[in-house]
Amino acid sequence: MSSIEELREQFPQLSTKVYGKPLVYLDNAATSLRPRSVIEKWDWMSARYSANLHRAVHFTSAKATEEFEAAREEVADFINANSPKEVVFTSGTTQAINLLAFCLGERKGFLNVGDEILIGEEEHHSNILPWQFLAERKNLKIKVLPVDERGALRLEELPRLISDRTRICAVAQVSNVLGLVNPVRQIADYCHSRGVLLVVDGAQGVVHCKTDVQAMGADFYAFSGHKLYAAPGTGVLWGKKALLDSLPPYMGGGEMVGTVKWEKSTYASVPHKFEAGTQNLAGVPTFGHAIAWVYKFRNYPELEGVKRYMLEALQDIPGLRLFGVPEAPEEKIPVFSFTVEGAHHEDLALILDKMGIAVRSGQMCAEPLMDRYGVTGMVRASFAPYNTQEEAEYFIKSLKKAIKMLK
Amino acid sequence: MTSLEEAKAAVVGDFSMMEEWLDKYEYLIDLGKNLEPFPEELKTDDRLIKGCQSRVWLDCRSDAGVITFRADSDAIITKGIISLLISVYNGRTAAEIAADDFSFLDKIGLRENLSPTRANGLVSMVETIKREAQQYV
Repeated sequence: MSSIEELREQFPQLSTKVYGKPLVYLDNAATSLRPRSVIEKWDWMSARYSANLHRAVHFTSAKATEEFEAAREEVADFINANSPKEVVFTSGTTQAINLLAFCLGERKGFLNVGDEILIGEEEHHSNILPWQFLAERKNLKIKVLPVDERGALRLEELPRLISDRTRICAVAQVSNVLGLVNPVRQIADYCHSRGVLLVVDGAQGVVHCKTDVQAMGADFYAFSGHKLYAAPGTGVLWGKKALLDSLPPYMGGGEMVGTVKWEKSTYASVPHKFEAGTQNLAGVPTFGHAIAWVYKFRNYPELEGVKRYMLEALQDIPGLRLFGVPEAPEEKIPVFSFTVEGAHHEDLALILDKMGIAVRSGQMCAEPLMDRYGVTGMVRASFAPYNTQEEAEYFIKSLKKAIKMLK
Repeated sequence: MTSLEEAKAAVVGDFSMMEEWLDKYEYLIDLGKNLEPFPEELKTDDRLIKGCQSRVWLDCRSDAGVITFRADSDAIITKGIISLLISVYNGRTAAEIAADDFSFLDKIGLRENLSPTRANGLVSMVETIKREAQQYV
């Protein structure tokens, strides 16, 4: 096993300096950094294999198609999909959920006026707004599955919130603010016992949790490449094959057709039915290298120690409130959102920035959750396996200094 | 009263003595803490400046064309920035403010050195100050 230093060398951005100080990148939940292998693959695809997919008979197009379809197999294997045909490439989680919400809305006989959608209170806007759009279009009702003070979803509310009219339940595997691993299997079992489809936003979860979509019991699962060390503008919508087959297409265009006639057209089968237009030719093939890094990182236990240190050190700071408090450390991924009494989140983030530390501040695309806790925003420090204990200690020291400046 | 140009030069002078960004923040935090209290009843949505991560309120009054701004923010560095702006522009005529190019902000590095979201916030603050003054020209 190579050392953490050798591993960090593979992520070029880690050696950059900001304001003359070494960059301490703790905004991984927003987007991860990319390793050389991903950057090289991305570059190689642009430089050598620029050709459109599935269409032409020429050599380069065949090669590009091969690379693209190989990524589909790697992703399918990574999340334990039944078949690569269940893997639809999108531009990210956002597009995946928008695509799904649109297509479920157009699925014949599935939704009727007054039907209900249940959404977790801690969801990212990307797992709220597409459902709100759908509800407005189809005259549906949105219900909210609340979280408790600690940040855990209140599963005991499920029987009260799921009615005979509930069709869809949308929750995150892990919230981008709270970082708590939700009991998705339990939610899935309950949903299925009531005939409800479960849509899981895996944007954060797929990075830190071993993800098996079949064992999880989800009907649909969405995630982004850019948080998983792959190229930005890549993402996945996984769905059970029979369900994907039952959906109409999303966008019309090249690549997704069977035959096009003025009278009536037919469409390609899944997954290509959902992949209209030119795809992210250079980005998608980076998934293989990105996934290889996920496996490699699982052999580095350092992050587990960093997480435990952060949980203790943060809660020792007077006036600091941590959101997403796990009962045991295993229940949380290394995402730490907090507020500090008497210190505004934006001020803290600005001062930390000048100390070389990149963190997120604000509502974190989860305004309903901010309202639930009665705050205008939070600071979030989110770690990746390439972050070190020294960086965590520097963060805590800098945070204390920033608080002192503001008080 | 000092002229607008003298007031700007004084701010540029203060900032030129601070090499470290943390010192500049200390300075802004002090300004923010010492800003005159803003009446709670003026914290209305129409006084909120859009485009800032934190909430910033600006109230503008004219007495025969001479402008008085009052402001507040829930974030202290932002409050320092708006405090600095209104200390320079308070007591000037509406015409003088509306015609100003605010380029002294570049000289103190406030524009380029602040993060993009903050830089946008600053742009919104400047635009709001100019727009508010414009209506009394």
